[in-house]
Amino acid sequence: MTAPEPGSHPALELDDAVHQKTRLALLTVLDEAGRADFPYLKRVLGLTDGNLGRHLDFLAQQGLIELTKGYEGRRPRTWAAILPKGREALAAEMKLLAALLARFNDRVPGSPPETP
Amino acid sequence: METDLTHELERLRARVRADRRATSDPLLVFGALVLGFAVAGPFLGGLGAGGRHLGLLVFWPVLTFFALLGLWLGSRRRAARDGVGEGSPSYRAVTAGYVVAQVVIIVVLIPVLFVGVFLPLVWPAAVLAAIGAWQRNRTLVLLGVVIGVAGGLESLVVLRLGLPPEWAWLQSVVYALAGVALLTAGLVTRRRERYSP
Repeated sequence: MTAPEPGSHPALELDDAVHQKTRLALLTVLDEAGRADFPYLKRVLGLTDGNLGRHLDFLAQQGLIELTKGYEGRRPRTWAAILPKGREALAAEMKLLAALLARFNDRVPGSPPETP
Repeated sequence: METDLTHELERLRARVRADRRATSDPLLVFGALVLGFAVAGPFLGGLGAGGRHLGLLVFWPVLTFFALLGLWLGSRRRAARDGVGEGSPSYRAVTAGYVVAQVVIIVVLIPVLFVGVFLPLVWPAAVLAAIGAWQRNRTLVLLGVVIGVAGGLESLVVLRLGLPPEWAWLQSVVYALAGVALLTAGLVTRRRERYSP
């Protein structure tokens, strides 16, 4: 994807890897928890095994999270941990969303105020 | 729409924070410590000792270390049981930061140790506020600042006006009330965390 022109509409700067709703939610959970295991993420986000696994793999391929597979006793356990690049990407996304909201609120009189 | 999305993300963040017991755990631990100080304080010498008693001098620095250690072990246990991580920064980092700060205080800022003697509520309040600021937890910052400012002012007034020996118990009552307030806040928060959507 080519870089957007400086000063262009904030929507053009959104990173598809992060902006997708499930991946954004995953990064938010991991940013707050630091790391989480597969069943926890599945429960909190209400995802199926396949869907969650696909999004986790994608985020790991982008270098935004790290997946660690191991065993606890006989039980296999997969942990996902957010990486510094993931935190940066999430912060950039939230900044862009805030900019989009501000733009929207400026243009629509009586629209709800920006959430804190 | 973006408004809904940011709301949803905030709700999700709050849910994870609740699962980590990120607010109630420190409130309960430090509330118990403040209550413990209210009970143990008179035996350690109280304000009148002027910092001559070693027990009073080391009470907050040492017990804060064990409190943070307990929070770290508790969060590790929860991570292993529930699958939700220790947060960022984890209590491991917070405990390590606290140990480094104590070394710096002992080496170059010894007078800071007397905060725990003369302004005893300021010490745990400052630690709570620092944890809150580091973990981006507004509730902890707010409660830390409120307890710290109120407790600090109360101690300064008592130091300035002096308290007759027969009224010395009043000081313990104030500390006990602060401890109960923190414990109550912790229990209320724990209840909310349990039923977080």
